[in-house]
Order: sequence, then C-alpha cells, then structure tokens
Amino acid sequence: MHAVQTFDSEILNRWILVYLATLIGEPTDSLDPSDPMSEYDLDSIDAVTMAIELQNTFKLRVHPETFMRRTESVYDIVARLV
Amino acid sequence: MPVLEAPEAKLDLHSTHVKAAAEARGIPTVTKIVQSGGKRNTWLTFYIAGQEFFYARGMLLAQGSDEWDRIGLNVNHEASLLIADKFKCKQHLSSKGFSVPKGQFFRRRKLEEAYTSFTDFSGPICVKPNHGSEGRCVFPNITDETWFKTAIDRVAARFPNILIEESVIGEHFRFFYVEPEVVGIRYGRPCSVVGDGHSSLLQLAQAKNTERAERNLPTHPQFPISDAIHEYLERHGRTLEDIPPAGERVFLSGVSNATAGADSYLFWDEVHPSYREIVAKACKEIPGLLYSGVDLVIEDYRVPATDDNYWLLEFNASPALLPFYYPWQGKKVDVAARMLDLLERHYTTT
Repeated sequence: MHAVQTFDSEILNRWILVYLATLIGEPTDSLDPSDPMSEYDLDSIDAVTMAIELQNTFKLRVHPETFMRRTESVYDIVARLV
Repeated sequence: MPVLEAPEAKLDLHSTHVKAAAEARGIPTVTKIVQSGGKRNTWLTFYIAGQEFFYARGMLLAQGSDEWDRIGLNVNHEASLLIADKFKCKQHLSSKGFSVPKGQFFRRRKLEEAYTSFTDFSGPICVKPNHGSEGRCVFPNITDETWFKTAIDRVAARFPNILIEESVIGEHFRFFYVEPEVVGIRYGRPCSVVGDGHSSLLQLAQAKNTERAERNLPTHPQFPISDAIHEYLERHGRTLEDIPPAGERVFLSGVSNATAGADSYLFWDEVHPSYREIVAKACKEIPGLLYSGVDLVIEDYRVPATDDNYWLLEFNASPALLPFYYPWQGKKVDVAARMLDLLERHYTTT
C-alpha cells in the first residue's frame, strides 16, 4: 500500500477511531488509539468495508488485512499510512 | 504472482464440469497453477469475448488488474460485500419488499445483549455467524434459553459477528440463479432416516451411510454420526437407541447443506413458478449479482408465493455446482453451461 499524498496523522487517527466507535457502538472518547486492533474484534467484512470507506474518503489505498492485524494499534496503522 | 500452465494438474470436480461445458461450446481451456502466499492452487482458465476467466471450486474470476495483486475479481465482486453480510443483505431485501426472517445483529464483544434477545422472539430461533458458509455453526430451531446461550457461545467462539433470527418453518431450497432467471432448484432435506419399526436410529443412520457408500455420489458422502447428531436428537427428546415406528421420518440434523449430510433432490415443475420469479427479482435487486445460489425456505412449495409463506435466507456469490450434477434424485441441470452462456452475453455487451 502507498500514500497518494501526505496525510495529517491526527486526522487519520481521528477518522479511524470515529469509524471504529460507530462500528462497535461505543463512544469515540472511550477508544484508545494505542490499544491493539484485537480490541475491536473485526471480521473480514468489517475490514473490507473499512478499507473501502478509508479509500473513498482519503483516496488512500489500504489493504483490508491492515485492520485484521490483531496486535497492531491504530497508531501503528496510521504511522505506516502516513 | 506466478501463473504456470499445468495440463497435468488435477482439477476439482466443479471445474471438470465447467471444462466439459466449455469444450462442448468449442471454448478451449487451459489448466493453470497459481502460486500465491506459499500456496499452489489449480485453476481452469478460458477466454470468452477476449476476457480470460479463472475458475476453481465454485469461484469464477475475471482476470485483470486488481489493486491487491490477485488473479482478478470475482465476477460477482460488486455484489459480494453485500451478500457476505447476512444482516445487511437481509435489511436490503426487506427494504425492497421481500420476505426475510426477522433478526438481529450482535458483536461477540457484547454477548450479554445477545443473550437477552431470547425474549425478543416469540417462536423458534436460529443462531448463526453473520458471515459464514456451508451451514457451519448454524443452530436452527432453538426454543430453550439454555441451548440458545450455548449456541451463541459456540458461534462466538469462532466468529466475531452473530446473527440471531427467527427460525422459519418450511422446506429448504437452493435456487441457482443465472441472470436473468433461475435455472435450477435443489431441495435440501436435512439428514434424516425413515423408521422400519425394528431398527434403532443408529442402525438406520449406519444403513443410510452404507447406501451412500454404494451410490458413491460426490455430493452425498458418508456423514459422521457425531456429537452434533447426538445433541440434535437430545434436544428433540430422542437418542440414537430409539426405534422409530415404520414410516416415521426422523431428522438427525436441522441444516440442509449438503456438507451437513442433507439429501439433494432436484425439482422444477414440482415448485410453483412464483418462487422462481421472486428469486429472480430479488437477485436483480442486488447490484452486480450475475449468478448466485439463493437459499430460501418455503412453507408449501406447491402453492403460489404470498408475502408471508416464504423467506429468503442468504445468497452465495460462489455457489457450488455439484448438487446440480449429482442429486440423490432428480434431473440434472448443466448449470456450468448456463454460466458460460451468461459470460458470453455479459462480456460481449460490456
């Protein structure tokens, strides 16, 4: 995967946290971006949908497997994306 | 991704039927091996209207540029995300006026909410993964709350997302749809035996397996007389030692998937044509769905469909072909030929 342009990591962090919070039905502020992705317990459909939404929003190509890596955190994912 | 011609490689049985249908139409085929992620998979390949296709084990891909460096995209790719999510697909079809079992979606991180949903249902309940296949981890016809919680735990042990819905009563069918119409109808009777008045259920199950071994149909392998059967019988107040009266049919399972020991019967005129029309209309409401195996329950397949005597359960983007070639009873349907005709129509005009 590669970034089409440079992104603000804070914006990406926030977007991903809001997306995850909406998905799992929790308040965004209760999510910790340093928690591993296993906390959110996504299935493959969740991951594919999330990758598509991220791509549509930021024109950024992300493999759905990114969100299935259970030991990585949102911080880790964003660090690689930017 | 390395792709090698491998004429000596063995095709899976689904692919051999696609190969036969292609060659009957004068379409040359080539067997190839694709190496990906440390695995080697054998694919049947052929060209239609200048487009190369790869087929293996129910999956049909159109070769081409793919952002994830796969061989290509499933010809149903536009539809696949919607139909893979059983709850979203159910909501979509309901919004279009089709009958679906009422249900709820839960994530396993909130199992207590799932447990308490027992009281939301007035009749039998089915618990299943929201994204699953082949009847695995599907628990239909639940009426006991303890078993309900056990079923939820069993699904949650393997799948993050759980679908809980009413367990509708009727006969289970798989309609094979190839745009623009249904081309085959499979009636799946869950694994069952018929009593003779002197044999136990265990003996009857063993005899059924002996008959399956003799007929040697790839779609009807011997089934394990497993814990799943014990549990199913126990929940229905029976054991394998019971001796049913002559003529009584006793079910050993509640799911109608071939992989769960169900018997396949191919019907056509037996089923009222209104159900074919409904399935075709439903498939047309799913954008990008060119062909599919559609599972539905019908209360009485001999009478016309109404708003409340059938239920669409789920759609499969890569349906198995074999049940339509190797039924226990019924006239075979060359569904592979119909798929190739579809590809010729679709890829010639697009």
